[in-house]
Amino acid sequence: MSADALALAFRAFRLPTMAAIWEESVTRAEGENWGYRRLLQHLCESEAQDRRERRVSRLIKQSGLPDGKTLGNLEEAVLPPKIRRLLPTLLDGGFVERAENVLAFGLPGRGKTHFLAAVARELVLRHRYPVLFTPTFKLMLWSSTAKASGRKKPRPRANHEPCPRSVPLRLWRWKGIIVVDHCSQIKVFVPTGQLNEHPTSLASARFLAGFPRWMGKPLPNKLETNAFQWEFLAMKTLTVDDRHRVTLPETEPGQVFAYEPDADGSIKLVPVVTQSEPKRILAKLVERDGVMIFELPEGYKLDPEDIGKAVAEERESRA
Amino acid sequence: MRTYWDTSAAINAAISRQVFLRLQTGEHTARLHLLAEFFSTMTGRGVKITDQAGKVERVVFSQKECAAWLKIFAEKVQFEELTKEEALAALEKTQDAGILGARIYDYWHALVSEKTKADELITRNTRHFLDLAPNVVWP
Repeated sequence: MSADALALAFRAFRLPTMAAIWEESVTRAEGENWGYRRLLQHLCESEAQDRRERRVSRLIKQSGLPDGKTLGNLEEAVLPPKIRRLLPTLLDGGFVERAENVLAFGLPGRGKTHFLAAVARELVLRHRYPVLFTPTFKLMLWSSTAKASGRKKPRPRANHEPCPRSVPLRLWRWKGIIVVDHCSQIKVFVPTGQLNEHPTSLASARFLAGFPRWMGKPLPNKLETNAFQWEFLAMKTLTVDDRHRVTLPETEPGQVFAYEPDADGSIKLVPVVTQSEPKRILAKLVERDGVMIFELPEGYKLDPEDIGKAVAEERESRA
Repeated sequence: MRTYWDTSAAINAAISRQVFLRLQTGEHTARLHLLAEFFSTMTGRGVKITDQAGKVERVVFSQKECAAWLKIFAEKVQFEELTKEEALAALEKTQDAGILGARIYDYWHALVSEKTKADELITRNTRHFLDLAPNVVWP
């Protein structure tokens, strides 16, 4: 089989990474006297690794999670101690397996959305759970569109991922985590049982109007899971919230503003610099002159002091 | 020469040939806890790296490669641990020593270093060990 045919075959079998690296790998294998088994293993591992990375990127893109609301820029220090202690439990993802719901209640600007979006993003990164972030009104819209079109509830897709081409139906099809924002925008919240069909949902609400109907009981300003309750009341008021965001036509796409009411009642727009979460880049274990070490990605450098900081952060997070 | 390895020094050895070569000579000791802490750090949050433009990312290891490297490391190191009595006696002294929170991890590292009669304790966290061990060095 010629080289071109081999590349085509890899692509035909949907093995893009193998198609991209097979020539380089064969050259390396010949130079370093790899056996057939090692070469095959190398190709398969590279394909698997790339697939994992592509899957995470795809899940993040499909989730619709807001870019600026990540664990990296969540000010953990301003969270109440109870919520800080809860964070590792939530990131562990056990509540998803147990199909528990997490509800964040609190006054405006307390960081409910940021907290839940950050948790949901980490669940994608760490556990590859599919997530859908949506404001309540869209949820209602999709639901009513699906009902109006008279479509029946289809069977869930095998891979449990949302179906982007069929927005009204994707909620029915999809069995991942749903993050519902601004629940209290709708007075009569979530039609009976609809949201509960999903194994897990994270929800944030400014007011409590809709929730008693959903949960069957009145709830105070609290973050609640099936097992725990934590108050958001002590959190510092954050200046940025989804409802404060506006996009001006003369600015860069995606530029985010916070609005602050002035003393005279007018509104002042303040540009907000959103910090994107650092990417996690995989270092490869390689042999260099008889020593096995991890090779940093090309073009990157590491300050040794940051190793100490990383270990200290790790210990702090456990403590 | 006997060297006690802290987790940060082991991570440094994983990415630096120069530091790794320290393992080729002399005796080396560490706590078994190092393996878990190394794995937890490097397959979890990772370590900060910067590109030429100053953009910050984090470097992590895959679980499989991390385990493979730790196996190589473990072959060159003797693992020691505090006994129950030693650990409990150490906890009793924490109040007087002003140790609380996550600092207990450093304290136990220092105690095991002392127990193994290590000539030096290598770490990238020298500041954390300042009052805990007299023989702290950078890798």
